[in-house]
Amino acid sequence: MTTEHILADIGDEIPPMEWTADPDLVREMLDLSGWIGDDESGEGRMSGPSRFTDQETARSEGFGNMIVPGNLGMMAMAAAIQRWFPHGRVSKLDCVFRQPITQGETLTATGVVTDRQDHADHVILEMDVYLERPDNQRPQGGTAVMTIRTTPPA
Amino acid sequence: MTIPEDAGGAAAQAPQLTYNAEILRKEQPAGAITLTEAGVDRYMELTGHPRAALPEGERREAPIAMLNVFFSRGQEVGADVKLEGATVGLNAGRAIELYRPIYVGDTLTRSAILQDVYSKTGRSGTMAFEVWEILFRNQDHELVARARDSMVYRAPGVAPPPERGAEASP
Repeated sequence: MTTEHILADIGDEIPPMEWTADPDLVREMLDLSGWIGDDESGEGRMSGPSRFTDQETARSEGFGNMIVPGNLGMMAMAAAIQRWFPHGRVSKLDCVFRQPITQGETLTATGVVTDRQDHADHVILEMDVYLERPDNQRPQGGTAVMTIRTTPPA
Repeated sequence: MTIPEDAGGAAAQAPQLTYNAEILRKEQPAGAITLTEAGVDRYMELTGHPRAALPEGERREAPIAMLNVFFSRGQEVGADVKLEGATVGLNAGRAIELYRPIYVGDTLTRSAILQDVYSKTGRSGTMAFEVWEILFRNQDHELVARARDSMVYRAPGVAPPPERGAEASP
């Protein structure tokens, strides 16, 4: 494979990935992160109900419903990029969490290529990435850099 | 020691912001985590992250975004940020930069540095921001990733504003 085989160019859209963070997914991720679950050793564990796991707590903090931890949206954006180029390595990812995302909402993870640099054995893509609602609001967005190798490492 | 952000008090109208300045810009140990095969599999399944075929002889890498899992397990503590009326703390943004690949089997040691605490006042009132830098080193003591994490504290029911400069590198 040569760099010409990497079919991504400036202006190309990251193939959209539909994403819904329902309460089960949020709990699973909180468990994986050690925030909740059986691992009692983790510092920083949630003590009691939170806006991520309890409707009343979420409402008392001014949210209409339980919300999604911001970092889950960041993970979804990274997954969308990685689905496009499964062998690529994302080396930089930054994201601003502009608005809370409600659990159960369906959003689209996508973005656009803003720069492409061709090297002898790899291509570097820079991208704007975001989560988009059906009404075109973007509660989260940022940038990503991915390196795609064209030849295996020595 | 807890000190106000602006002890000189030019902004007499604004609510006072206090935080623990003793930890400001000091690197603090923040635990370690081992990237297990099962953990990476679970992460990929939950996020819809594809699993690429592994070329012969190569070690399996963990995705950069998986580092998101290892925040807030104790490293972002001790700042003790307090701003009158701002009782809700939210993550405002995050930036992660990978310097070296991270592999299944790696043990990553984290350290955290409170880089900045400041407040902003707008139409919806005064909010406090807390900015952390998180460093990840592997078992060979190599710096593999650096992250910048921002928290915003605000009154209930107020949407957080975009955070300034989320770049991972100083």
